[in-house]
Amino acid sequence: MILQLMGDVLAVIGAAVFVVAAIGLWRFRDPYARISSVATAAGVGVVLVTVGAALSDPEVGTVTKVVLAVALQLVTSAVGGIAIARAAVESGHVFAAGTDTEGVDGLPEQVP
Amino acid sequence: MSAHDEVRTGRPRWLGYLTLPWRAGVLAVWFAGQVLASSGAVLVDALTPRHRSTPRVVRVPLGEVGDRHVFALAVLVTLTPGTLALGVVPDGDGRALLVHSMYHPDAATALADVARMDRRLVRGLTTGGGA
Repeated sequence: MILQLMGDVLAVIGAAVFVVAAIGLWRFRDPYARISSVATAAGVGVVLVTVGAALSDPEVGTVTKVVLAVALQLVTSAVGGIAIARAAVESGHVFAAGTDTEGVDGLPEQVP
Repeated sequence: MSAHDEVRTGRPRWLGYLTLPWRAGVLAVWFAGQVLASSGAVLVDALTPRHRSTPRVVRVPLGEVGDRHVFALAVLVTLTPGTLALGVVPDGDGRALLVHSMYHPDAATALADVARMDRRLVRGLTTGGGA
């Protein structure tokens, strides 16, 4: 009962993380902020939802799958985000106006 | 990687393996706390009309580190709300990580945060090796 409740709460928080990331994707001004928003949500949000599901149905099989899913999801969402961010840098996507890139060479120039 | 670990941890390797689960657990709990702590700024910025971010890119010197170390740090940085790893560049004899940060008030704070994460990572996951 208490596990079920905790599972539900975690799953809802996870879903809320996705909503906030979606809003960030729409409102943030450059690819880098948007990637940052999505990479975090894909990692943390999926972890919350899957752990919530495991708490609702706490069996050895479920917990094993969730542990695997969490480990793989955390690593792959971050790697995906980094790969897209690097591709954005390499293909010259500019940073939002006001981004402080002082002391870092080889980045796309800002639009004034 | 091992030479680097030795300098930083300085404990015998068997002790490193023995305490690894505990240290990895401490790292996981600390990182979960970091995610919670830094999610507040993102939440407020995404949900309120004004743009509140102070975006910057900083170059975090890592020294001579191995690929696994760079990978682990880049993953942790990217999973933390508000920060994103942009890639790895040569830096003197070693390498540096480019980090995009959205909510640090200045470059020094951003650098200090990533450096602290790096120290935590080394403490949490390396097995050392005094032999």
